[in-house]
Amino acid sequence: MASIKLKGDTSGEITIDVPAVAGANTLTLPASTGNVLTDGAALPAIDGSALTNLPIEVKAWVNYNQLSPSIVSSYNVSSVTDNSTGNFTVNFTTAMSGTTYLALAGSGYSNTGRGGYFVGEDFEDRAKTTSSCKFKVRAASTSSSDAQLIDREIMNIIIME
Amino acid sequence: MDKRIVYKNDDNTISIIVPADCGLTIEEIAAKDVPTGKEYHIVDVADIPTDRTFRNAWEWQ
Repeated sequence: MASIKLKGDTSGEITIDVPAVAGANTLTLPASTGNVLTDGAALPAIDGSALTNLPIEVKAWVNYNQLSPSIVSSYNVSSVTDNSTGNFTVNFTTAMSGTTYLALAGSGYSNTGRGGYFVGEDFEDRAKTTSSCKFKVRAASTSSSDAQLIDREIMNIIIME
Repeated sequence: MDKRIVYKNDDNTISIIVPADCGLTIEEIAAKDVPTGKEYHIVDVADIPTDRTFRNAWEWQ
């Protein structure tokens, strides 16, 4: 029979609390040799899908090139619709639970362009649904008439809910 | 994916769907992401113009 050894010569005590309910409870240690608390190799893998009660999660993201146009990489995105210059819609593979999700967008900087660029969910068309979200990209300007829709090579979108 | 889905909007402009590598077929993506009632066409990516200078004037013929 294996033995349990408690080592150390400092003062104090070790307490193992058990739940105040009936039934057997088993503490299972990994088969590999090591220190469970400090040896990463001995720690059990954590399945992210088992995590619950998270305040907010990334539900979808896409790295999109408007100029090609093409999808560089994505998660939970079935497609991107190129509607027109500076106007595209991200379509989700699995729909969001509501329409209050966060839609974060950012445009990559380009040496070939001048000034800044703003990208965000399209408030003009009220086109935010559980299955898709439309975005528009405009060149920065102090005049709304000059803030033209524009295509950018790097477009990063993150959907959080 | 080397295919694109093209459909015409009510104002005669066209939208072009770029499919993601999401495990769905191009037909499944078309069924899901083309607006209800819109006629669509699946084309090769090579058939889409690369010069987007007049992108908003593109029409389906």
